[in-house]
Amino acid sequence: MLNDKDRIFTNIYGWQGTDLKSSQSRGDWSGTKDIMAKGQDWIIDEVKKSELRGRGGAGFSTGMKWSFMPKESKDGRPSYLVINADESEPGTCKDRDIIRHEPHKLVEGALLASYAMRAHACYIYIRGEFMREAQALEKAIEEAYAAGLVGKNASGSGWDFDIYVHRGAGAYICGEETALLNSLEGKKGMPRNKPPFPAGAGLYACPTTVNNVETIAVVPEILRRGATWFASFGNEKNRGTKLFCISGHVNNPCNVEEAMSIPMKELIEKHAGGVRGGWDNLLAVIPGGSSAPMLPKSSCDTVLMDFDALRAAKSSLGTAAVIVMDKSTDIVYAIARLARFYWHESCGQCTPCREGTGWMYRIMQRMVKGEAELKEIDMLLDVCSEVEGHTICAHGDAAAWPIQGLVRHFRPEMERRIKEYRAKVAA
Amino acid sequence: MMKLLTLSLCAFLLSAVTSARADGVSPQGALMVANVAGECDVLYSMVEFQKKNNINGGQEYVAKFWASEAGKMNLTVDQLSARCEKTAAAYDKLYNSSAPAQARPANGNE
Repeated sequence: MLNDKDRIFTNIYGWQGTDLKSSQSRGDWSGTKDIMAKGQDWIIDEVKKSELRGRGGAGFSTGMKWSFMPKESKDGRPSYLVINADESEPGTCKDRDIIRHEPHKLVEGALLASYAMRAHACYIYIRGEFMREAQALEKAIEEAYAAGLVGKNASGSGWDFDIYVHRGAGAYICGEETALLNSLEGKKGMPRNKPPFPAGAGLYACPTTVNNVETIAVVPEILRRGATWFASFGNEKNRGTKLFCISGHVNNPCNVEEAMSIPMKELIEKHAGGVRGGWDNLLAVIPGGSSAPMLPKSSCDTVLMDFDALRAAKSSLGTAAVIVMDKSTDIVYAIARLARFYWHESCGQCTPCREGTGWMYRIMQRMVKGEAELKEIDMLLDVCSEVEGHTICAHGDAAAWPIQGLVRHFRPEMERRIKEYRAKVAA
Repeated sequence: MMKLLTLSLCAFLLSAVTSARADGVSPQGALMVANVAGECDVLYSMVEFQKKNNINGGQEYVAKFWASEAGKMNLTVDQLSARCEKTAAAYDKLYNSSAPAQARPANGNE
């Protein structure tokens, strides 16, 4: 279990103040100028050495991503940092709590990351529903401006830096980085084809890096305590600490910061008070937000919570939103509900996703009742494979994965329903 | 802004959320309140932006924008403003009830 002294988010539950003074008393904005004095390349190297991987779901190396940004502008185009605060993945609520209770970590991280990438401006794209969170963030930014921590000659570093908050309007797809950029530009929130990647042509066709809130918020502490400290947690290639959001059928749903690679069972039992009715009452867990394929209890007994271990178990760490389902769950209905969500949130740009998500939902609705034929389970998998990997963004994949996970682990349950329904009709 | 159309549901939602509070928050009611509150916040933030920056012609623009959004819902600006206030109050209720409800984990941050 992670020691309190090793926690980055020491006010994630909001038990202390969130204002600048309180944040400074917790160590925020300490030595920012000195860190910046070490230079942009030093910051990027340190982040690379820490092995920090993006906390938004994809898990790409953050330092590597930053190093793709141009070191100088040869054509006069500015560079931008965009922070993705459009936290919409069902089950995920970590960025919300960072913004509510630790906004200065994010603002300081924005300054350091922008400086490292030679960006003088940063945009934070925040989910439309986060009304008070957006206001809390704006207040923190105002405080930072008033104290000279951002703005002209930010923190006395000689670097000019401006930061803006932009509210989204509630579309799930705007959490996809290129759709987010389109939305920020005032266009329809639809994903762009890649390449060009945002580091080459992102916001207003300028070099841009899009990072998740948590990714940026941990950067100041990594730079203060050192990459070696951060890399001392977790297994190889899965380093650091991570905020886990544990919800569903547990006794104490919570957000908690833990070391990467913690066993799932330990995470749920120690921090969330265990599964309702005991561990043996566990049916399945979705380990990384609604798009991650579920894992049955047999896998949950031993699996570690990190990118590679969950990939090996044919799932994904995603946003580390752990959704626990006990044996009272109608597992087919639960996945049908997710299928409906992905159908509703498809932007409609790509035909396989626009049409396929609807087909998946309709077949899943019938699977809930058992009003189908056995061969339709394979047909459902066919539809999933026609959508997966055939769309501009990962929304199609995200829609297919929960269903594939269901069939992989609960096919007998689906077959039982179909047989029961047919027997009932025949009688 | 299209989602502002859902404001017409506010009265229903507010009563739904209030009644659901007795047994716990209605998840759909909570989502809808958050959704509408967020949209109202966009309108509020336009006013705040104009207050701070005092852009030439900005006041007229903001007033027209509010009137146009209210018109879409067959409301006056005053009615829209009142509904936004109600939604914000409901949002605050939810916001304040969610944080303390989270019990401390085993070795939570002290």
